[in-house]
Amino acid sequence: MLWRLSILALLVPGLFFSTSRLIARNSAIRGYSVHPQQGKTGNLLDIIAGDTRTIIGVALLEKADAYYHGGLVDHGDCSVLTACKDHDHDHEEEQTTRKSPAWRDPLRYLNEQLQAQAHIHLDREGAEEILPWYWAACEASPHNIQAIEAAVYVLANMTEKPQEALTLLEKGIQNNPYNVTLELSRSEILMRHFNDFKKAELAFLAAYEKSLHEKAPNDDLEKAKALFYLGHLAKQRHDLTSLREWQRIARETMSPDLASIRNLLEIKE
Amino acid sequence: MHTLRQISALMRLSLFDLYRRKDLVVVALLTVVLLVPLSFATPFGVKGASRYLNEIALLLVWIFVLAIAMTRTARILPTEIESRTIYPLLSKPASRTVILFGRYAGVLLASLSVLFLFYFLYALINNLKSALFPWEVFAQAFLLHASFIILVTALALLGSLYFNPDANLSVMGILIVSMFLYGQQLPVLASEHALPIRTLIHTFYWFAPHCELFDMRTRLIHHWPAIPWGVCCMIFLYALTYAGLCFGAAAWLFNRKKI
Repeated sequence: MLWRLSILALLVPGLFFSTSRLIARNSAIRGYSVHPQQGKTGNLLDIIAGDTRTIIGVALLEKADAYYHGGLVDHGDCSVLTACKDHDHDHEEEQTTRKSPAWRDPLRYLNEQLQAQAHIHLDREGAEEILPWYWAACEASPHNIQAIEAAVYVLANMTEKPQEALTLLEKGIQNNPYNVTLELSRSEILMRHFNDFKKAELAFLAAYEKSLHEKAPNDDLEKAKALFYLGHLAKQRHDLTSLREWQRIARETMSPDLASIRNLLEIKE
Repeated sequence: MHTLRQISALMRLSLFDLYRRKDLVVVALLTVVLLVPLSFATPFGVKGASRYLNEIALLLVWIFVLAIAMTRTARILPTEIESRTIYPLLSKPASRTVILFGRYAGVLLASLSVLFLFYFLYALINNLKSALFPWEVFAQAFLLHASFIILVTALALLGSLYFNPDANLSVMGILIVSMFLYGQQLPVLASEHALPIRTLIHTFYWFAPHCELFDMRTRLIHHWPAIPWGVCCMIFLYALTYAGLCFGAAAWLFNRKKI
């Protein structure tokens, strides 16, 4: 009886361990670097805790977004990244429009009075208030690309800490070796904040190579972006052979409808 | 006058009981242990963030004060009955309603004193750190938090006449947390269901304690402007009415209870 139990005690954890290793290895080989259950080490604990960490990471990211909107939880799809890249800051004056008459539902009326607040964005001076939540989100879920991207944006552009942003990106790339977005962000930081075009070009090249294997839906956009910058940097150092080569690759493999590809093809020698 | 003296004697008993048991010391130490390391944290090497610390501090204040108020109230009557200390009280020339009110007011006063202490420390630390402390919002937050404590203690008192202390704490805990999270979603939930269930959810919406109305943490942390004082008073009156109804029901039950 005892030896049967001993075998079972050895067999079950062994089976769990080998299965977890197999899942982690296969998902890494196939390039699913954002798989929530893929831990850094590929061990059983990482796999079991993977989803929990992802959920906590998402919750912390939402908290950070609320802080960016001055505590407002219901702010639609507007976030640090979308607010600053896709639309301007002209909705500071917007008021919540869900007011209901007091006589109809006094409880709702009281709650609306409590929650009423204009849609605002934190400015550069208050940007440091968001960072603890981004830090917690990145620590809780190292595969949460959105959290890393948002934290990098705030660090580099709102608090003028590009070195910290670069460190975070490098840690993020280490945890998500197949992710193109992070590699592109790193290249941009190197180019815009450090003026290190040599390293930036290498990073864009790495991003392009990763984008060839990436199966994410926005891979074409990222590949196009990487190609554009590679062509642009080649032109900057008067390497016309490389520029022509990148333009040829873009013409043959990419759709000309993409803005980055159009811009690349329009670069004159 | 005689009744007032009886009530004040009973209140003093509850107040001394709280401070004698050192619950407050444990809670205060726990808060310090949790907050001091956090206050030294510099995420990404950036200093100056304080709102997250305020948020965690206020969350702890809410949890600890609620825990103290609920556990105290839920154990007033069952403990007295179990240890038979209720008999000397009942033998006094005081009505059962006066005894119940005195004990309830004592626990309420003890809980409010804890609340006051925590808010005083919060204001002191924040005022030292920043010159721009939103005093009006702070006063409203304190008033609404005190209203919340008045409401939940009355609710727990009523519950203590139905359930044993542990069951009472569990039921009230679930009710309070659920109302905090989903209180305002109930009409939406009701509209998604057919008639008998819709009426049931609507009835629950109108009669359940709306704890979410007392939470002004976001306003305080993010320096939102104060709410109109009329709204603040309406919420305070809501809490008083609800607590009054709960106490009335509890007194009615206690007067009929065979001890």
